[in-house]
Amino acid sequence: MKKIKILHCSDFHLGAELSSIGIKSRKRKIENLLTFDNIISTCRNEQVELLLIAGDLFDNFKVKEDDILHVKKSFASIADTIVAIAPGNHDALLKGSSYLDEDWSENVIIFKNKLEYRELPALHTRVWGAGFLGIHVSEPLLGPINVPEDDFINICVLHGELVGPSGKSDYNPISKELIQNSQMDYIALGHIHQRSPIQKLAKVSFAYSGNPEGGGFDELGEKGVLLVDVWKGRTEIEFRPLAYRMYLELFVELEEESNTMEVINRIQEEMKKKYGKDFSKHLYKVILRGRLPAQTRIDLDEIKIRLEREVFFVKVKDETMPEISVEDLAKELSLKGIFLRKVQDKIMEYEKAGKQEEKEKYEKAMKIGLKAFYNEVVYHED
Amino acid sequence: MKIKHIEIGNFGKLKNYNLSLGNGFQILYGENEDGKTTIMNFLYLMFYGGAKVKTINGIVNIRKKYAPWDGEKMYGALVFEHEKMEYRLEKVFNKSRATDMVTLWNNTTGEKEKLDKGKEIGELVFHMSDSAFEKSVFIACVGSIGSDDDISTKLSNMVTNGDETLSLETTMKRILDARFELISKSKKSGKLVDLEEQISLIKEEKHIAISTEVKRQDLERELQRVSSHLQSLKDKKNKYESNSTLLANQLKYDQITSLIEEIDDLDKSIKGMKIPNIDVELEALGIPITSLNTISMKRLKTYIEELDSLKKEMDSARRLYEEKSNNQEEKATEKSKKKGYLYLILFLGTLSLLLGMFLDPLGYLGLFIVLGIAIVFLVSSKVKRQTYSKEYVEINRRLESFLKEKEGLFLEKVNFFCETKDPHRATMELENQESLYRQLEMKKNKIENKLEAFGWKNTSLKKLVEEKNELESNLLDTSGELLPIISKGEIGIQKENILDIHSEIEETEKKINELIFRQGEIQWGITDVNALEDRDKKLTELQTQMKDYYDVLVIAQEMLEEASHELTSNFSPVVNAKTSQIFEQLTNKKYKSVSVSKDFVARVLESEDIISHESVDLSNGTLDQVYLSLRLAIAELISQDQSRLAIFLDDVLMQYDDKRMEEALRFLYEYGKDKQLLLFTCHGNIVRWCRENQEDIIVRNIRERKRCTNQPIEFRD
Repeated sequence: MKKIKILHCSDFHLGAELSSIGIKSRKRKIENLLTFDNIISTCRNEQVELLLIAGDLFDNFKVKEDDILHVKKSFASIADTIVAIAPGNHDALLKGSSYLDEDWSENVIIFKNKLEYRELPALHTRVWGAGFLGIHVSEPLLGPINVPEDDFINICVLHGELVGPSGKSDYNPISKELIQNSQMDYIALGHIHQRSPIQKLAKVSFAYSGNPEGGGFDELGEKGVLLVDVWKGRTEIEFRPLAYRMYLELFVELEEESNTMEVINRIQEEMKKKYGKDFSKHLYKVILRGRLPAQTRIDLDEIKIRLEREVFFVKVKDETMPEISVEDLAKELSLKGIFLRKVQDKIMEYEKAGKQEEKEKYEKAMKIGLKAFYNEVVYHED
Repeated sequence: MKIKHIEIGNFGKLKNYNLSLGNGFQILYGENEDGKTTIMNFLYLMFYGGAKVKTINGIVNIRKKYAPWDGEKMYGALVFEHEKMEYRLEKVFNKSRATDMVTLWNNTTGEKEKLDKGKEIGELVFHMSDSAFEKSVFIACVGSIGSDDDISTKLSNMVTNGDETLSLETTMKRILDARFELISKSKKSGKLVDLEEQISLIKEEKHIAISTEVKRQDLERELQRVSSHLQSLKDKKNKYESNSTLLANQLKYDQITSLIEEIDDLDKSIKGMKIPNIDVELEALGIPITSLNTISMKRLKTYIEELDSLKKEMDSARRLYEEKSNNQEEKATEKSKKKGYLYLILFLGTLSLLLGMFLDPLGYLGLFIVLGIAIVFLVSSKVKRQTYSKEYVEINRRLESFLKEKEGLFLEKVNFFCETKDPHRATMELENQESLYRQLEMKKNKIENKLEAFGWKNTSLKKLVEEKNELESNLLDTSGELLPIISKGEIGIQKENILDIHSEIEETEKKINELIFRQGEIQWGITDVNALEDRDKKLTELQTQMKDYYDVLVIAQEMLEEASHELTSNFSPVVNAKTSQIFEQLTNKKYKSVSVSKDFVARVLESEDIISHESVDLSNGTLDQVYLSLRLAIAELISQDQSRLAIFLDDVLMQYDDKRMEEALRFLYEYGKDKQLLLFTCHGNIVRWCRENQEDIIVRNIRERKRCTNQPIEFRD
């Protein structure tokens, strides 16, 4: 039975400015391109027959000419691989879009209309796709289609958002029904940066590859591409990590540390323990937890500066609490005790009334109030 | 609670140290560095493994401070009585509280107590936090470590917070600072206000960008519509033009076909003609039609011309011959002329006779003259006639031979066309050939004119046939059928339409250019909606977080205010009353009351006085007394629900003068009767005074206790 080997990826956002990490953003911008290069090498090494890019290859229509040229040349360098691109909301087919250039190599298919297909007889495959013609696409691109009844493998590449039966979206709404009725063997999706497990509706397999390189602390962990083997009616998928660096959230439970240096040492220990010898190359959001002696003051800026001498990027959030037994303290005849009692009464009251939101606010107020007895409580953006 | 026995295996500088304690007020004496503070901190760390104390030098991690230099582990045991039970607490200190080896024996029951690893022994046994324990158990002298301001702040904190290390004002300030940093008091500035402004600007920008995007999409659609209209116009134009081309091709095809036929016909005609000396090979295709014709025609022409010239020669020979023949006629005419002369002679002879007869005889003379002339005339005429006849025969013979020769040549040439001996027939044949030639020439000229008119001048037949074939293939559709023939009328209408379309195309192209220009304008001014959306999303998330934080700060502030209000209205009066009671006893009724207000001012009222004194007017000694009273009062109040805790006083009387010291020692002796009250001191006068005046007070020398045993303590199995 004929099989096709696919590399499915999306949402590179080449040329994006990552302002949230300050001066490191330029480096990340370049690393994004290096990851793209890695994917091209993977296509070559793994003899990928079809490279699917499910939108947002470019972040905007003002991407540097050099970068566009690099992408074109890279695609041309893998002439044995068919490259199918479905433009997304970030790289929609607006006037001036590089997708409208004439000099893309022959192995590149760019979908510039509503759903259409190209037949690849040598691969015994039909590749379907559609592109964003504007920044917002509220009508589904995956409309009813007539798929020829033969033994060709039908693959579809799309940028879009999964929605419920009556769900709306400005980003090409894709409902279960549309997927079920699509008659595709595999639908390669883009737009959502979080990788999804492979899912199946009727005979149709589909997945989001997620972005190959994390773009912020809302895109944590391993990132990469999907290597997909598709037969008629059957799909096997493998996740291949390719990200240059990872965005990571590191929770550090503090116990005995009584000053900033001790906290820094502890964070480093945790990083090494969890991420091994490569720990220094990642981007960390360190969340300090645990109970510290009430008088301990931690300088978050110092932690960041010192750690960044070794680690690529760090931001620190202090969620520690004074090492105090709230229960016992609430019994005390003191301002702290009375404060705690009063807040706890309120928490109980809202809990009984089922007002979860209010309850949570009072729980936070208790923490902040208690902290204010010992330390500054100004808002820290990290 | 009562500490009965302290056994230090290894802690700081104390090794194998043993100390038993009794009930009531006791004095533990030792010189500086003898280990008073070490013992106090050992107790603290035994009950609270995570304890850290705040000193003038900052926070001190006791565990680290007392870790022996030799690297050995710290360990020790403690026997204490609490709620009528005796316990033995054994501890081996490791790196952290979590890793300490802790055992708590209940000596009364003989059982090992179950311990919750997350909780301090102090919390488990006394249900009290380390700070509460520290407050109730450890009382230091304040005057020695700070200024008057420190003391009054501590006093105020004690009363307003119940904790000398915390200040309501500082705490409140921290909350308000955090709050106002987000939204200022005037609500006009602050991080949150700035952020809200930023978001509103971005939203506005986004709104504009989206409406621009809508405009752009409308424009794009319009552009697509107009472009496709333009395309349809062009298609129409092309169709008309291709129809015209089709027609032109048709015409050309017809022309070329007819021309080829004509040429064929001409060729056939030429081939059908007898042309002498023409090489048939030359007729092969590939030789330009005109040249082929030219060669053939030239040959023909030359031949006809040659014939014609022969004919002319023959004709002139004939004419000459005929001319000579005509000479005889001339001679005949001459004879008659001679007859005329004869008649004239006769007439003149008769006239002369008549004249002689009737007029004058001389007239007969004339008759003789006339007779003489007539005789001469007749003789010469006969001679002449004999000579001419001979010449005439000769000339005639020669002329005839000449004519025959010319006729022979002409006939010989004509014989190529038709065999005849008749010059007349030959002449007719020549005329016939001439006429045929003229016809051919006319045909040829006609063809050449057409060729020139159609732009095929000097084109070979082969080329013409090729062009014809090409035209033919153009006129066939893919299935090999001839395309429908369009009438000229139809084409005419279409041509008119083309003109209309032309102007419409021009207008449409102009419109497209305008649209592209507008599109360019929009494109130039367009902001990246995606980037704005991302930014909006991120800032709105931040705003939500900040707002939540702000709300929480407001709640914390309100709760703190409420707590403070409750404390000042409930706790402070109780503290003040209790403090006054202790202060009165401590000062041997010199002062009757002490009160500390919310505004950090401690006031004391002497027994005999009506006017109270504020803390700034008080001596350090008096302030120390106030502080001790307050601490004891709070310790009592805090532990009111508990069994009375042991109280450790760290040289609290060091600033007292002798009188005050005596009063204080007397007071403490009384005060300690129902509780364990331990006074650590390095002042020998206190020890001396006790030994001299109050023998009941137990005085222990720390150094002596230190030496009491050299045996390491043993832990129970």
